[in-house]
Formats: sequence, C-alpha cells, structure tokens
Amino acid sequence: MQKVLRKRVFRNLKKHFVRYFLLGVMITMGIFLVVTIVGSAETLTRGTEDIAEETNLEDGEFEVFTPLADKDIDIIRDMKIEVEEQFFFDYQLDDEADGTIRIFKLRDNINKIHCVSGSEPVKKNELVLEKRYAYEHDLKVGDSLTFAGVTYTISGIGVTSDYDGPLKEVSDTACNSKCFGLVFLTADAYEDFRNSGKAQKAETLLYTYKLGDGKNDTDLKDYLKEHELVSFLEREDNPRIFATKNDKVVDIEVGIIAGIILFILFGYVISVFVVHSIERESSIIGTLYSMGVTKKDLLRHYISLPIVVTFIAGLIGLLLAATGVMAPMIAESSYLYFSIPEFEFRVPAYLWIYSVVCPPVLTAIVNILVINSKLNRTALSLIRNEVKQKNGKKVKLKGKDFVRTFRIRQMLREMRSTIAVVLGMFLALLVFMIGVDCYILCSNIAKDYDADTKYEYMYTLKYPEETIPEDTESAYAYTCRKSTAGYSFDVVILGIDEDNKYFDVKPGKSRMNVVISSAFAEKFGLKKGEEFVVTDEEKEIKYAFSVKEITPFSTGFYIFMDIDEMRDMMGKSDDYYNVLFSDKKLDIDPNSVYSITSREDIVKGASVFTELMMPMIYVLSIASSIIFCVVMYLMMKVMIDRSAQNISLIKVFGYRRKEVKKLYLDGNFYVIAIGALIVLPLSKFLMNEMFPFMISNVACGLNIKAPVWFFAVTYAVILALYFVINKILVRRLDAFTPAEILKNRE
Amino acid sequence: MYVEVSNVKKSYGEGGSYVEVLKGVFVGVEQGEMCVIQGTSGSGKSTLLNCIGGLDDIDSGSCKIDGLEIAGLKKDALSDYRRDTLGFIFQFYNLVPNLTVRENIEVCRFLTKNPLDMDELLTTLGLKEHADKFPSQLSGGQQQRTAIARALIKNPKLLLCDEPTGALDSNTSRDILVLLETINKKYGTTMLIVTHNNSIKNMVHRVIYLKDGLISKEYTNSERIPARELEDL
Repeated sequence: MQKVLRKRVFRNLKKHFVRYFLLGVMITMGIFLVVTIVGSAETLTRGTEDIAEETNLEDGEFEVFTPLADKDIDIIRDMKIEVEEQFFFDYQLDDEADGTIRIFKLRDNINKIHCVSGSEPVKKNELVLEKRYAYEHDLKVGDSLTFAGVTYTISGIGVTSDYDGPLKEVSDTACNSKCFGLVFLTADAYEDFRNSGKAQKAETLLYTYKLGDGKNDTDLKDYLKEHELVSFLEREDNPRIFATKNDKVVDIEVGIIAGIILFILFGYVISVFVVHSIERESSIIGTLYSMGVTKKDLLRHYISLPIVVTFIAGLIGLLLAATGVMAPMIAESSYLYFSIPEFEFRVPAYLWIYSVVCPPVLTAIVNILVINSKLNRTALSLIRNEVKQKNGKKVKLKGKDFVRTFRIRQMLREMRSTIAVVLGMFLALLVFMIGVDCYILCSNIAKDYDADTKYEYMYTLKYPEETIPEDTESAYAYTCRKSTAGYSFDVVILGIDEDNKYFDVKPGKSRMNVVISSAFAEKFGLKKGEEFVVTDEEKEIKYAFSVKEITPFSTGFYIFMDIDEMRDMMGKSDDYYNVLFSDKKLDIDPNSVYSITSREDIVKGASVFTELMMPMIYVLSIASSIIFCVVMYLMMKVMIDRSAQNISLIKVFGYRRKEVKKLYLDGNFYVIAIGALIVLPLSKFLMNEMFPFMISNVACGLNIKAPVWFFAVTYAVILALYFVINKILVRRLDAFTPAEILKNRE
Repeated sequence: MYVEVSNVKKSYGEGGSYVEVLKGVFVGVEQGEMCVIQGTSGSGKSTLLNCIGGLDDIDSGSCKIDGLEIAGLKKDALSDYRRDTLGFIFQFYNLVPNLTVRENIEVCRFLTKNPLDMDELLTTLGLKEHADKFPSQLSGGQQQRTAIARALIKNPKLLLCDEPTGALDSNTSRDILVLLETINKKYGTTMLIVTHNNSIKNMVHRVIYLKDGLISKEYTNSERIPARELEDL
C-alpha cells in the first residue's frame, strides 16, 4: 500500500512545491549554517589541539624575581618535571602606532614555534615574527623589522600555542595585535639584545614546565614557594592558551542547540500542513479505516513526505557546507583575532550524522506527536469530520461587532497556525537577540572603556621608585583569581588614595567593605551588601570581602580598597606602591617596570570586539528575519488555504476583496502586534539570562541593557515585515473564485 | 446465518441529549444475499450498518459475522475484521484526489493476500478506459464505481453500502445497482444496502424496515426484478 501512496507523496510534493521548497531551503540553510559554524569551530578546536601537541605546549608557567639557580632546575627536573627558561623583554617600538613587541629567544622543547611561512632564524639578524602582528603591520618573510638599533630580517612568520590568544597581559580583556606581537630571535641575538642596554624594561623571568607522569602542578608550586614567585599560572588558568578552543565551545553548543530548536520549529510548521491535509482528507481516511487500513499505515504515509524533504534538505545543506564555501568567512574573525595557523575546513563525523538524522528524526517525532491524535479518531468520526472547529465552538463571544467576532473565531480555529507564527517569531527573535546582545555588549564596551579610562598610562612596577614621580597617582595592585561558570579570571585588588583623580571611588577605611567595578559585579553577579571571596593562588590564601558599593568601571575586574588598609592587609610598608597612573609618559628606570598599559591600547582593544563580531551579527540578523518571514508566510498561507471554501462562499454572498481581506487576513495583524509585544521583551529577557553563559570565557562585564528605541525599532520592523507578507498573501485570497464552492471537493 | 444481529441496542448522548437509536434489533442475513435496510431519517439504519461494520460499538446485544462476535472486539481485532471481511461504500465516494482510479483501487488491494484481478475488476466496473484518470476527471457515477472497485478489490465477503446511489442521478444509479447485482452474482458477495430509494427493495433478496430503532417489517422477495428494469430510481 505504501508503494501506491508513495506516488501520492510525490504528487503532494509537486502540488505544494513552494511550501516544501521554502521549508527545504530553510532546513538546508539551517544545516548549512550549523555545519559551517560548528564545523569551523571544530576545525579550529581540533587544529589548535593538534598544534599544541606538535609544539609541545606547556602545562603551566611561573615567573620569578630572580632566575632559578642551576641546582633548583636540577631538583625540579629530578621531580620529573621538565622546565624551560622562556625569558622575555617587552619593547615599545619607536613609532607608537607599531605598539610593543615581546622579544623571546627560540624555544628548545616547550611551546615550540610553528612557522606558517618561512623558517626559524639561523642568523643573528633574523627573527620569526608572530603571525597576527605580522598581518596587522603587513610584514612578510623577507621584510625587515628594526628595533633597539638593529635591523632584523623576517625569516619566518609563526605561531606558538602559549600565545594562541595573543594577550599582552593575562588580565587583558581583548587581544589587540595592532599594538602587541611576539618576535623570536636566535639565542645569540637575544643575548646581544640583553647586553645592548637598549631594553626599556626589566627582563621578565618566565619559566614554562611540562609535568612528568604522575606529577601535578601542586608539586612544583610547593617547591617554588621558597622562591620569590611573581606568578604561577597553570595551563587551564592561562587565557592565552587554547583561547580559540575556549572561544569556540560556545559556538559549538549554541550551534547544535539552535539547530535543534530550529528543526523542531520547522517540524511543527510541517505538522501544521500535515494536520491541514488530514482534516481536509478526514472522510477519505475514515473510509480507508473502514476498509481495514490501519493508523500505522497512514501515519507512515503522512510523515513520509516531511521526512524525505527534511532528509534531502539536510543532506544538501551538509554537502554544501562540506565544500567549505562559507567556512573561511565564518572562521575569518578567529583568524583575525587569534594567533593560529589556517586549518583546512573539516566536518567531523558527528556533524554528518547530525545533519542527516536530526531534521528527519525531529520532524518525525514532532509530527507523530501532533498528528497521532488526529489519526486516533474512529473511522466514523473521521468520515463525519466531527471535530472540525472544535476550538472555536468552545468559546462564547459577546458583543455585536461581526468583524471582530469573526476574526476571533478565525484565530481560534487556526490556533495551531497562530501558535506556530508566534513560536516562529519568538525563536527568530531569540536568534536575533544573540546578535543584538553581542552588538550591545561590544558597543558598550567600546563606549565605556573610553569613558572609564581617565589616565593615559598605567605603569605596573616591579620595584617601586624611591620617590613617587611628579604628576602621578600611586596605587597598590594585587592580582587574585575568581571563578565563574567553570572559568577562572584575574581580579585586581587596587589600593588607592581617596583623592586619586583617575578613579571616582571612595573606598573608605575598611578592609572588609570594598567598592567593586561594575564589570566585576556584572560578571560574577554580585550585588551591594553581598559577600564574596577571591583567591591568591600563589600564596593559597582566600580573601573575603563585602560589597559596599558598585562603581561604574568597565575596563576590568577591580576591587577598590583604601591603599593604607591594603598595605596593612598584605603586610607591606606604609609607603609601598607598585602601580603609577599618569597623564603622560614617565621617564623611569625600565628595569623597574613590569608592564605599561596605555589608554590608547585599552580603547583600541575594546573597539576590536565590535569589528570582530559584526559579520556574525549580520548573519544572525538576516537569518532571524528570514526565519520569521518564512514561518509567517507559510502559516498565514495555510490559514487562508484552510478557509478556501469559506472564502469562496462569502465571495458568492457578495463580499468585496477588501472585506474578504479584512475578515481572513487582517486579523493576523493582532496576532503579530500582540505576539510581538509579548515575545520581544521575553526573548530579550531570556537571552540576557543565557548570554552570560555564552560568553562565560570572556573577561568582560555584561552591560547588555538595550535602549528603549531598540525595542521600538525592532517592533516596527516586525510590523513592517508583517505588512510585506500580508501584501503578498492578498494575491492568494484573489485566487479563490466564487466558483470554488460549486466545485466537487474531489 | 452469515450476519446474525441479536437484540442490539445503541444509544448516543447523555442526560437531555440522550437518544436510543437502536432499541433491540434482530437481523439475519444469509451468505450471498443482497439485503436492503430501509427506514425514515433517524430510524437507525446507518447506525445498524456502522455497528455491523465495526465502525460503531454496540451498547448491548450480539453481532456475529460469519460466526465472529464483533461486539467487544479490540481496536486491532476490529481492524483485522474489516480488513479481512468487509468492503464499504458510502454516499460520498471519498476517493484520494491525487491518486488515479487504478491507484485508488490499489490502496486497498494490498490489504489482502488474495485480491481480485485488477484488470478484470476494471473491466467489470467499466473503468478500464478511465484507469489512469484522477477523480476530478470523472463523473459522479464513475467516481462511485471507483469507490466500489476499491471496496471489492480485496474480495470482501460482506459489502456494506450506505446510500450508494444517494448522490447520483437516476441513470447512473441504475448502472451502479446493475453493477452491485453483477458482483453479487459473480463473486457471491453478501451485501447490506442502506437506502432511502424505495425501488431498490425490488432487486434484493431480503428487505428490512427500521422504525424508531426497531425492525418494523422484514421479508424476502420471492421474485426479484433485475436492476436494469427498476423504475423511479
């Protein structure tokens, strides 16, 4: 029997080609986007993992004030822990626009360089330049780079896994390769630079390590406690390492889940068509039942077309995506942000299965659930088509306004389609809100960073100057860690004087009650009066505080304290400080400087976010608009089709085109207008709740408040799209002639 | 008796809307007989047919078809009973609009292991030249013939017809009745025909009148008039 009915499947497909074509295109597009986005994320994730393996990525790193003695290194090695010196200098290039380069010597065994072009230097006047910095400054193999009076030839462009995310400081929010890059010199050239006296700052004494079997980070940390440890950073806590992979976790999760939600929505939309067919063919089904045809036979028949369409659509989407046609565009933002080689786009096996299984299976499940009850009726009830207009009959409507009553009845009759339209609008808006929240966050970051950074330079000092330089504000900064949603972030406790002109903060004389930055409060969900704990991982001490006040400060996770209270808490002398804020560049001993952060770097870094996210924001906005339009068009069309007989009938009565439109089409305006009023704020609210989890690995605040005009504009766009669809569907109303009612239904 | 209906009662609704449609009906039809059930609107004739067809369950009594008690049968068993034993013809043909005549018939052909020969059936029913047409390309009579062919293809032992000529003109009705007569003779199919049409009673073996849910009259025709000679159809 299925063989005969199969012929009907193809005829149905032909008859409703536009409907299934649009849905097929949507599913193809959905799979194409999911496979491209998730596939790109997987390609980057697996690619960076392979590179980490190939280049022998560190298990962690630590910085000390004085170099480890040979015997210390021997002891560590005896502990079956491989340790490698990876000292570096930060050097501000002559042209400020060129930013700072971090100068390393070539690595021996840990964090080896992976050259994407050229090769490692063999001569003293050669170097490998980090890929992102080279790109931003348009430098290629064979070009030259001059610093500290020496001109070097670029022998290779490369990446290292310990700078996957090329952050200058681990506490930085964003990478900015216009202002920061790495260079790798030969050991001799590095030695020459060290001895040249041209260094602007003290050498950073950083060691990287690889743990032997059965060893853990604590073993090493315990040993190093006796040394002057500046920092100890395990691989998992280092935001530079696997930055790409961590960034892509969200893409993978969101992509997969968004795809599933989308397929359920389309499955539901399809089920509306199927239910429409079943209701129209109710008496035929009843007749077939009366002859002994079973529900199972018909269920199989009715879901076969949706399954075939969704399967083929999914397969086409997969094959299109597998060509990698859009992968470079999707991955481009990552290649323009992270320091990684370009990987060949590959679709993992699970995505192949996902693409060909998810759309048909979800469609089948949704359809079986929805249409099962429709087919569950008795043969007699189907022959008599008894339950038609059940929804409308239940509701008693008062009032004499015929048009209003008619529209409500029509809406109740078409409740299933109405739900699908509102559900489609809701899901489309959810997708849209991902892009909106990204945009609002990025633009707020750019705006807030500019407004909140009042100093021009921040000098983090290794050794404080004997006297505080003129026109500067001194402060005491100490970095602790705090975790949220599985990610650990640097939190800076900043001791400041009450009259510090760069911070509008009055911490008060308390060690317990502190002022925190708004970014910190947003990220960790802290409110005034709440207590929280941060951890000093080097000393393994926890500090508990209470939020006295939240100050608008977006550029980092800060805890503001009175400097004297902080000195007291940390056991420092009454005049200790390690940070200087200034309006101008300071002339201080480079050896005493740990790092310099300029306002320009901060503001530039913030604007990078918006540039990076714009392509994704466009894709999401367009995709959500298409989803909304297609679902609205299909559902409104099915509502009209279901009323074909009635429309013809009222035309026979003498109703004019405008009146028919008023009765059968314009009532949807209220569905859209009222639906949008509900789902617009609801989708924003839900996305605001979900968004922090999507960017749980990003060290920034969560200012995602949207202005009122945004809601007004979005609402206006929704109504505008409705009117476009309405205009298109008027033609459909015209297609039903009064003669329709006279035709034999069969 | 091939069809044995004993003291069947059937009611609908509750409280104020309670209606007892069948109040204790007894019917017996021999194998191979053509039987007409007549009565006024609301007398219970369609309900009786639906109960015999297992489309409606009975409140009490017994309904045996070829010895099988169908009262109380579960859904699957009822489905099997209909599949193996019954053919149904309704006033409205209920053909699948986007299947051709042949395909509409084939839908039910697969319900049995021993279907009738498709071409022979198409010829018998005068549908041979219309086999590849869609229902919308057929006249009412041709559509009803297709519906009959669909019911007959699985070679049912019992054919239940609910107003088979109700939507047809006089000449077409006659054609359909001739056809039913031919089938009855050719395949020995037992037939129960519910109809308002008074002339049909003359062509069948047995006539049953229903009134207010009870059999008011029942008789067998000693002489039958061939369908093609029926008047006032």
